[in-house]
Formats: sequence, structure tokens, C-alpha cells
Amino acid sequence: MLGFILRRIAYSLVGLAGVVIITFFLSHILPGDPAQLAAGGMRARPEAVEAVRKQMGLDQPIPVQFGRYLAGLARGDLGRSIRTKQPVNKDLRRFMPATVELSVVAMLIVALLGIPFGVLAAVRRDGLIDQVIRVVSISAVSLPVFWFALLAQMLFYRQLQWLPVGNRLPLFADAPPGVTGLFLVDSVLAWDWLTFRDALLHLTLPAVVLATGSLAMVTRMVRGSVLDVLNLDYVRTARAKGLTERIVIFKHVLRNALVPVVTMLGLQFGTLLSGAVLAEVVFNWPGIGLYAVQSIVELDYQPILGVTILIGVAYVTINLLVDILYAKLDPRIRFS
Amino acid sequence: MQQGFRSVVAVALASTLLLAGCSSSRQQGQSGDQKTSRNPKAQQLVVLMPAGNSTLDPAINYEVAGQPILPAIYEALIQLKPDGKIAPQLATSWDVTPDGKTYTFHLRQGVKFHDGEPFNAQAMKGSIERMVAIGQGASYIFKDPVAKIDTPDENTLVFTLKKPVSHFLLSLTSPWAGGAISPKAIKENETKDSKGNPDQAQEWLKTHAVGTGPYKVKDSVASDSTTLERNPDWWGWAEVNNPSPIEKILVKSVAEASTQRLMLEKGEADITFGIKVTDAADLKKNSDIVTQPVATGLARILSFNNAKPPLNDRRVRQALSYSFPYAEALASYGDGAKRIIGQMPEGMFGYDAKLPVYNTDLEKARQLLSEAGVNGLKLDYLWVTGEDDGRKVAELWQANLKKLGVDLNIKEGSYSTFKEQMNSPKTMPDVAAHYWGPDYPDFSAIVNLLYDGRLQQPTGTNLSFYQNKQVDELLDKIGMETDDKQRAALASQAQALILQDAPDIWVAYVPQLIASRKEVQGYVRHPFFDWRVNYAEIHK
Repeated sequence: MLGFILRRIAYSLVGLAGVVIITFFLSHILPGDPAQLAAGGMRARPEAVEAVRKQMGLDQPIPVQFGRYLAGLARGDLGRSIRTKQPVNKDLRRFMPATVELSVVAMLIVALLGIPFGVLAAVRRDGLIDQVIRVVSISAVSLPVFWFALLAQMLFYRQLQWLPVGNRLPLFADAPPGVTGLFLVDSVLAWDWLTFRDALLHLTLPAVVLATGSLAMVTRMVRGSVLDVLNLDYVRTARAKGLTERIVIFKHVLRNALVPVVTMLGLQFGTLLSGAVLAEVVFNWPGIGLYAVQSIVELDYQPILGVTILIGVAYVTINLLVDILYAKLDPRIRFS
Repeated sequence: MQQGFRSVVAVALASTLLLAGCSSSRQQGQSGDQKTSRNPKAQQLVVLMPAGNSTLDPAINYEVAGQPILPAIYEALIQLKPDGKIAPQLATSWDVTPDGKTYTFHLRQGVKFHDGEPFNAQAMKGSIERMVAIGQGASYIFKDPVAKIDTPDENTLVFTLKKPVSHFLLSLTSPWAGGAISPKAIKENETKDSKGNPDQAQEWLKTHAVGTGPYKVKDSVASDSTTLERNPDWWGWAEVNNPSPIEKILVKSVAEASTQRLMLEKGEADITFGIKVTDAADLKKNSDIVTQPVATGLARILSFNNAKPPLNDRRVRQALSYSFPYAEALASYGDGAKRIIGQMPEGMFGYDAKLPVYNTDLEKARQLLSEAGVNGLKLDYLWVTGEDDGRKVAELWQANLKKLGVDLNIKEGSYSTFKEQMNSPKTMPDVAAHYWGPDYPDFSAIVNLLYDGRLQQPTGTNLSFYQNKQVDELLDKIGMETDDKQRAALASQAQALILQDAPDIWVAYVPQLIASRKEVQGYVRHPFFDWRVNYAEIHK
């Protein structure tokens, strides 16, 4: 087991190194001059552009810049953003909790609703509930996040005025004392229920919008998976033994049907992280997605690299956890 | 497993109920927005910007996003009022020697920085020298003309210039001309940069600020938001007719125009600078909102590659100028767009309403092209991604050009591609669409930079490889001329010469929609610095 994990980590490191190299060179090969942009664009005086270039270390040849970047990376230093003029580490620490909070809540919505809906649809196959779930989920899968987000804003913010839009808390509100950076958790720790309520309200729309696509995918997947298992011989045997339908479903079917679903959930978490980019832009949610998009627009290399590495690490870690969970769920799977 | 499933369903149900509970309490008007803040809403102001401000350092900031923030914190020697007049700020009066080379400023007494330090001539000198030493942003305003700065006493600051510079005073009113920073704050917060040199508090001043202005920084998140709070000790409160009661100001970047609009409609935002002009008509129907579609100082310019045949022939450029559909292009911008006369905006030094303009005249264009012996011309046109008006006006123009047998090949490129191609006449497209807005309201900030033949790319700001020795000589003369009347006459002469050469097409001043809540009183749009807000006079 330990050997397996170590081997997987080693593979992951190779993969991440590839990601770093490709992202670094791709972003540096693009024509353009971040120093010029940072100095004020076309109107910037050449000497001002040079001053910025020197300060950012962009006056060095690309291999030297790469060497410096790797040396920094080894020390855990991800460089400095041209746009925010802050160390990328500091920026990521500030923006990451917002994305984690958003993605985790979206993931909870996906798992907590997707599995029951899927099972329900499979058990009531071709019944009214199944038909409704299938129609709704197929429409939800095909909803573009951007469009759906705007629609949700119009309805819940402008028309019904139920939910706020954008930002993690009301404007001018103070953030709860930063322990985890997750406002839901921090506000509970501070026993500040008003802030908790505000944070939850602000989170609702972006999280639901972000979760919708994945929720539909997972529902459909669970339904398919449960149906497959329902047709297997051992299920017929279980029924023949006279077990109640409830025990058949929960004890025998679900355990087997959930194995592919766990992989799916793991992969969906990756999708959620990247989907967060769009949701964060539309909802002005101050996470790493919004940070990455703004950095890309301004050719700000270091944050792009930093976010790429961070998401790469998250993805690899989740995949590893999924593999371990796999074996827990299915005794037939052994680490090798 | 059954147990597990039950608890899963229970949690799902509970969270759904919790959410439902929260939304219904909000529905009853228990808005969460009011509980966390101590000030009533009338003492808070929310300003939305389409882009974030990256730094609070007045020596480095060189972005439009700094306009609604920095002038509230830092003050300069003089300021430009919305009526276009130069007014005192930290200097109460100034004299200029007849040779135009020595400027003496008499400073305001009794002014204190936000940290309690007294403001004096040394502090101002130190701030300016710091800006020049860092060498970024608009430091050229001091670096180019100033030979030395003296402080004969606490309250007097003397600039000695290398040569007379007629626009020196006006350039000091630029929103990017820096401001007085507390010397104590610089000293106390100095750290070493990556190379081990003292950083003059550059790191600290990115997110902190200690100026003399009416508002202090409470909190700043780089490129996202800045919260300002009232400085009760500001010297200027006594001089404002009806001082603002606003205690807290939040200047926030909200990139999505639709989100800005929603926030304004709902009363969460007070003044917005990022809603699309095309939304103006629709917003007008809402009686809670005041809209001002206005022409900005930002001009849409289509620059020809003046060095490349056949565009190096003036007649060809003139022909293309006559072929442009000015009226249609202007209409495509919507409310607020404005036709350009010469190269100067109305109200700014150098503006001359009598200068000739090119109007659409396809016959004349045809005639000029045949005189130049040009047939079957093919032109590459480059517009920058994100600047959609660049594409729109090109498409309108394309139709006219087709009638003349000219083929306009419209290409899109990133800003970086644009910059790269503009470096040399060999790579510059035949026509390149770009914007220009002046740093300070003077002729020299527009015409000199765009048309001086000695300022060509890649190191200069001349974006068309235009060169006319006669124009260069005139520009030098204008720079030294201290008599305003004489200077204005020369400025008109230079513009007329340039117009005749037709190095580019000036399409329109791009409009912007400034939208605010009707309860916001006292906001006067600054005609030259579009995003500047004079908070000291605003009421809600």
C-alpha cells in the first residue's frame, strides 16, 4: 500500500514537472511584452518599461528565467505577480480558500443530491420520477455555465431578490478572523452566525450554478451504474432469498454500483475546479479562477504558472485518494 | 449502508432547509448588507470599476483604475478643477520667472500627513525625487524637464528646468504626477529588494498609503478593492462649500458589466464606470438611476504605416481618409461618442474648431487614388482582441473601400501581437487600430507623442512611422513658447500640417457610461480625467 502510494506520488511529480515546463515555455513563447503592459501599455515611456523589466527580472534570457523560476520553486517561491505586484504565494493564499470553499460546497451538492437522485431514477426506472430526472439532467448537462449564471442572477438577485450576487460577503462587511480562510468554517469558529449566514447566502448561487452540470452528470452515471448492477445474477439471487427490496438496493446494489461513481466524483472535482474559473468570473468570486483569468489577460506569467501547478497538485492528489478509496469499496481491487 | 444513506439524505434535506430558511429571512427585508457595517448607508459610497488597481504607490501607479483612488489619498502641488482651471492644492501660489525656467511654489502651511507628520517642502521634494529614482509610471513628467529641486525654506519649493517647458504646470496636474508621501512612513517601512538595495518602501506602499488627502486607506486588496475612510483632519474640509458626510468609500473592481448593472440597480453600488454604453437607453427607464453617456478623452485612431509603399504617398492616405464612413462609425458607438476635430479634445489647450476635417467623399478618394496611380490596393488591418469597436468600424469602412476597389483584410491580434508588430515599419500592418488618451490636458501629451518623427517605435510613442521635419520644428517651438496666444497659433499650424499629411484617421472619442444612483449628489464628472471622483463634495 505504502509502496503504491509512493510510486503514484513519484509518477505525479514527473507529470507535474511536465506541466511546469510546458506552461512556462508556452507562456513565454507567446509574442508580447508583459513589462510593457505592466508599465502602462503603449503610452509607457521606454525607460519606464525598462525599469519595470529589470525589476521583474524579465531582462534575462528565457533559460535563465526558467532556471531562476525552478530555483524559486524548490524553495516554495512561486515568483511575483506583475499585476497585483504581490508574491504569487501570498496571492494564492488569499484567493485559494474562496475557490476551495466554492468547489467543496458545489461538490457536496453534487454528491448529496446526485447519488440519491440517480438511485431513485434507477429504482423507479421508466416511471414518472425517472422521466423527470432524466429530462432535467440532460438539459442541465447541456447548460453553458456562463449563460446559466447570468440567468440565475437575473432571477434570484434582480427579480426575486432572494440571493446576493458576487463577492463572498456583503460589501463593507468584515471577514471572520482568518483561521482557515473558509468563511463558513471561520465564522462558525468565531461563533458569528450572522457572518455565517451572509457567507452561505453569497455562496449559494455560484455553488449551485457550478454544481449543476456535474450534478446532472453524476445523477445519470449513478442511474446507469445502478441499473447495470440491478440486472446481475447475484441481485436476482438476493431477491430470490426473499430479502426486502430496500436491503437489496442499499446493501447489495449500491456498494457495487458506487465504485465507478467514486471515480466519476473524483474527476468531477477536477471539472469543478476548472469550472470555477467561469463561475468566479461571472459572480466576481475572488478565487484563483478569477485571479488566473485576469493574469492571462495581462500576460502575467508567474500567477498563471502558480495556478496551473496548484490545480495540478490538487488534481493529482484527488486522483490518488480516489484510487485508495476504490480499493476500500471494492475488495477485488488490490494495490500493485 | 442503509444507515449511511439515510444520514446522507438527512444532511441533504437539512442543508436545503437551511438555505431556504436563510433566503426567506432575507426576503423579509433583513438585508445582511446593513448589519455588519457600523455606518448608515448614507455615509458609505461604493464605486465600481471594470478593472482593478494594482498599486497604491503614487510613484508607480500609471493606470486609469488608480484615478478614483489615489487623488483621494495623495495630493499634489496643484490640481485641475473640472472647469479646466488650475487651482492650488498643496501649493497655495506659484511664480514663474520670465525666462520660463524657474518655477517657485509657495506651500500650504499646517498640513499634516495621515500619520501626523507635518507636510513641508522637504517632504514634497523627497516624494518627487523618489518617483524619479524609481523611474516608472509617469516619472518622465519630472525626469525630462527638471534640472534640480531646491527648498530654500520649509514652505518653498523651487524647480529649475533644463529649458523652458511651456506645458510644465499643466503636466503637474496629471493624475499620475505623484503626490506627497509621508517621509516618516517611507523611512519606517523601507526594506531591501531582491538585490539587497533599499526599496524606498516600495513593497509597503503597494497596499498602504500615507498622504495628506481627504481620505485614508483602511484596507486594500491589490487589483480587487480599496476601502477608504474619512480623514477628519484634512486641511481642505474648511474650504469645501458643503463637505461630504461620507465616512467610508469602497472602490471595487467588478469585471462583468452585467454584474455592475445588477449591483447598481439594486442599490448596492452608487457610482459605476463599467456598464456598457448600449445599456444607457434601458437604464434611463429606471428612475432610481442617473446615466451620463459621455465622450471620454480616449480617441479611437486608425494609424497608417506611413513608411510602407504605397501608403508613404500622401495622396493615398488622403484618399483613404476620404473613404472612411465617419457618420456611420460615430453612430455605431452609441450615445456620447463625439467626432474629432484636429487631434485635440474640446476644452484642452490646442483645440481649434476651425481646423479642417475629412468627410466621407468617395469621388474625391477615387480621384486621389488614380492620381497616385494606385490600383487594386490590398490593405491589412489589425485590431486588438477585446476592443470590439476596432472590428466594427473596420467592417463599416470595408464596404466603402470595396467600392473603390480597395480590399481591406481585417485581422484580430492580441495586444502583445499588436505591440510586437508595431515595432518596425516592416512588420507594422498597413492600418493599426489603437486608442490614445493624454496623461495631462495639453497639446504636448497628444500631438508631440504621436507625431514627433524622433519618437518613432520601437522606443518612442509615434505609432505611424510618420515623419515631417517641418512638424518636428514646430513642435520644438511650441514646447519653448511661453506666450499662450502665440503657442495656440503654432499648435493650430502644426495640426493643420499633420491633417494634410493624413498619417492616420481619427475616428471618434469613445463614449463611456457613467451611471449612478439618483441619491448620489455632488458628483461632477471631470472632463479630462474620466474616472476621477471628488469625494469631498459628494452627498447621498
